[in-house]
This record gives sequence, structure tokens and C-alpha cells, in this order.
Amino acid sequence: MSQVEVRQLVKEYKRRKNSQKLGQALRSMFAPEYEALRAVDSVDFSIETGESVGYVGPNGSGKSTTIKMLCGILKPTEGSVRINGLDPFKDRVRNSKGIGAVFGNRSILWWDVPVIESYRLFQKLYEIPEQRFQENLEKFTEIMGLAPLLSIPERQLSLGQKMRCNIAAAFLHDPKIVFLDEPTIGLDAESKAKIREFIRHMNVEEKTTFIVTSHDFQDIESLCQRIVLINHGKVILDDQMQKVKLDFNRKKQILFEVDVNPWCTAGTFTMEGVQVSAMTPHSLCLEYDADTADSMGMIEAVSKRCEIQDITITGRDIESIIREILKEV
Amino acid sequence: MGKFYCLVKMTFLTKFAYVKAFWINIAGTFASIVIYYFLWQFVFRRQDSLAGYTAVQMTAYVILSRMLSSQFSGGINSELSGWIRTGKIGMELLRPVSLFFTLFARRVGEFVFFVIFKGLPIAAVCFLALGGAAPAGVWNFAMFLVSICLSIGIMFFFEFMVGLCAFYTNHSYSLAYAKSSLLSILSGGVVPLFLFPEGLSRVLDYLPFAGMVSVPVNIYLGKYLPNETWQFVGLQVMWILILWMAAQMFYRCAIRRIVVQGG
Repeated sequence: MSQVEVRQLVKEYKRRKNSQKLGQALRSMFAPEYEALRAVDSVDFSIETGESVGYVGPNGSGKSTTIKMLCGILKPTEGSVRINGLDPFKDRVRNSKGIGAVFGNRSILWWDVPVIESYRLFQKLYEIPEQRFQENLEKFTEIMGLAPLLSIPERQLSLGQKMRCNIAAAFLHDPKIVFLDEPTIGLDAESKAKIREFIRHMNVEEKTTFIVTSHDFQDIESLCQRIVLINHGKVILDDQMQKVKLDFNRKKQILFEVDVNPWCTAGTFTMEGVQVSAMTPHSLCLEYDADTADSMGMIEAVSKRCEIQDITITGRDIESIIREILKEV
Repeated sequence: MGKFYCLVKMTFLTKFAYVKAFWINIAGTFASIVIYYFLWQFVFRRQDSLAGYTAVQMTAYVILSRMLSSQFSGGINSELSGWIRTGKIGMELLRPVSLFFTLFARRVGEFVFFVIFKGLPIAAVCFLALGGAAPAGVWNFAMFLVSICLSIGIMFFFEFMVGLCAFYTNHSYSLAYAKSSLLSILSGGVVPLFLFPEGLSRVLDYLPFAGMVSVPVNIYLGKYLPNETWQFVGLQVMWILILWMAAQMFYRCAIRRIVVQGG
């Protein structure tokens, strides 16, 4: 059995219809009308121990709702979820001992007390042995630079500091699986780098499984081996990151900088599977399909007619691949 | 038990973070005691006793009832409905303890804080400054303390249910306001229950609200016979059990509808 099993998961929200018209608004005070909103629609996936999964999709695609159902906060409308063999909603308290969760726009710490006091309380709540607690605290403190923050109440921390403290808190009890919902939202480059380093460390060293949602594709690219793409509540892609890149990275661009571009004044560059995407008197940009055309042939053809000064070949990053997939469906 | 103690401690630490608000709260309670004191002084200028209460007994009633009912403006209901309204409830549900456990620990923390920093100082100062009857006896005083401790159970489950209403209303202020005014009146926190019409006051005596103010204060003043005292305390225990079951059922219904707000 996989560590996470999601079967035909559905979540519907009832949303109250708000009317612009006064008459209708008055009527809705006593007999409100609702419309059903399918936020998550028959989602299926399983995750094995030690995997790192990027759960991506546009705003409002159902990512957070799925994560909340995995944490046991929301009750699924239909379908089933199993985390470490438990139903997270029915067995919420037991399930929460085996998982950790970070929500980028929320905090699990106590607002008014020093961070270390919150950690101490977590130690009690999760029944973490003193030695293990000290080891973890020391390690996390070192990787994420928490030492100066521990004695400060959360309300006086900056966003980046707060997030780092929250992420450490989610890992204190050695969870087998951690959900990170937008962990780097609104953070500066350094905080992001520290957080990524920490998550990678936990994934590699401690074999902690994690699912991360993010709109920052650097997060996804640097952290995840696997990617699950969701749109309008449905999974539209679920594959290894490398494979997605290969499959969708057939199209490449090659940019020649040349002394004089002969095609600029006469004729056109023709070759099978190659299109000219841009041209100036001193440069030529070609787009080609890596399956049918090869770059060596193009370099040869160009070098026959002019002198090449520089060549740049670019594939596409995961962000533009995702954008393209979303455009197609 | 370690978990519970730590949660109580957390509430304590949080309370200490808002010391200034606390001073204002204390000043407000003092003011209300003084106002009610003068009001009753005016009544007792024309008569020696009212329905068996003497002036000093009424002063004790005013001090204790205003002090106890000043708890109604707090409680965990506004906390709980705030969590529901902002979606923080999601974070609370991540913790490996039940919501009842967390909130009850908070309520106990709040109560202990109330007793040490508000109840005792206010009672001491007011009894010295305004006078007021001493407890009718050692036994009465002990039962008064027992009754107050039991009232926490009643208040907790009641507050829990009021807070849960935010699942349906998505709003907390009006709920908190309605709760504190209703409780003040029905518990005997504003005027003693005997001032209500005969039938009504009899009914109120047996409702759970009386257990929050009227019952403990009347035990203190020795208004009940010993066996009546036991009956009233027993009634408090019964109400705790009933409200407990009701709160559990309400919680199970509400938690299914939980919508974690805000992304």
C-alpha cells in the first residue's frame, strides 16, 4: 500500500449566491440560494515513501482544497483518502501525529509567545522525546538560521522569519510526510533558498515524503522529482519531472549570431522541421523539433552561407511547459 | 496531563501579553460594582431587608455577582468563532489533540488567570472598602468554591456551542454580544433572580445559567438549606453532562460543514 492513496476524491462547496438587485438580496436574507462548486473533481493519485511531489495548477484549481483533505481538516464530499493507512478525517488526531503541514498564508505557532515556547508545546503535544527534540531543534536551527528568532514572539517576526519558524515546527515530530502549501509565498530570495535547502535536506537525509504546491516554479524544479498538474479540480498530468521535460521539450530554439545574415536580403532558410522565428541582419533564430531536425545540420547549413560568431540553444523551463499544457486543455 | 498543563500555561502567557487591556477590564468591573452598590444602597435606605436579603448581604451579592459575571465578556466562544471566520480553525485541527481538549485547556487557563489576577484582588478590595456579608459558614464557603469550579464546565460547553454557531453565521461579534447579555441577565448577574416574577424566577433557578452566578453566591450567603445546596450542586453536574452531550452532537454536525476560509 502506498503512503498516500487518493481515490476518486471530490469536494463540493456550497456558495451562497449574492445578488446585485435589492429585491433579490432581501429575499436571500430569508431563503438564501446556493450554487454548488466542484473544487476537486475525481482526483486520483498515490505517493510512495520518500517521493517529492510538486502539486501545481493555476489559482483556484483545487490544490489547497486537496491538501486540506489530506490533512483531515476538510471532509471529502466523495471518494477516499488514506495517509499512512489512516483516514485523515475520521482519524484526525492519530493522522496528525504522522504528518506535518505548512500553509504559506497561515501559522501554526502561538502569536503572542516566544517561538521556543510554541516548540516546547509541540514537544508535549506530539510526545517528542527530549533528546530527539534537542537534536532536531539544533539541526533545524543551524540549517535555517533560527537561533536569534527563538526568543521572539511570533507577532514580532518578519514574514520570512515566521515562515522559517513554521517550517521547522512542522518537522519537529519527525513526520513521515509533510504537506507544504505555498511555503515560499511572498518571501525574498534568501529565505526561499534557505527553505528549499532545508526541505531538500529532509527529503534526502530523513526520507521525508512531501507534497508541495507553489506558483514559484523554481521551488518545484529544485525540489520535486514528480509533478501532478491539476486544473478545474481535475488531474491533467501526473509524471516524473524529467519525463515531462523531455516529452514537452521537443521544441527548441537555436539562435545564431552571424557577421551578415544572407537570408535577410534574399531567399528564406528552409530545412525540414525548422521554422524561422526571428531574424535581423546579424542574427537568425530558428525553432525546431528535436525529433525531426538536429542542431548539427542547421549549424552546417548556416555556416556554409556566413560566419557564425555565437550559438545559443535553449529548451523551455517547466513553467512555460505547464503554461502550454494548460493552454491546450 | 502534561499536554493539558502546557496548554493552560500557553493561555497564561498569552494573557500576560495583553496586560494593558487587562487593567482596563479590571477598572470596568470595579466601576460596575460601585454603581450597583450605590443603586442597592438607595433601595435599602427605605427598608432593612428585601426578600430576606439584608443590605450587607446585598453588597456581598453585588460584589460576587458582578465579579463572576465579568467572565461572560470573555470565554472561548469569541476565540472559536474567530478561528472559524478567519479559517484559522484549519490550523487548530492540524494539532494532534481534539478541539475540545485545546479549548477546554484554554478555558481553564483563562479561569485560573481570572481567579488569581481579577477575582481575588477585586473581592479583597471591595469587601474591605464596601463591606459585605462574610460567608454563612465554612461549609458554605467550601461549597461556594465547588459550585464556582463546576460553573466553568457549564460555561465552557455553552461557550463552545455559541462559538460553533459561527459555522453557520460566519460572524462572531453579534454572537458574543448576545451571549454575554443573555448570560448576565439569566444567571442573576445583573439583578438577583428573586426580582423576576415568581414563576419565571423558579424556572431560571433550575436552568443551567443560574449555576454560573446565582447558585454559588446564594450558597455563599447561606440562602439554601444544606440538602437544597446539594440539590443545586447536583443540578450543576447534571447540566454539565447534558451540555457536554449537546456540544458533542453539535460539533459532529458542524465539523462536517467546515469550510476553511481564505485560500
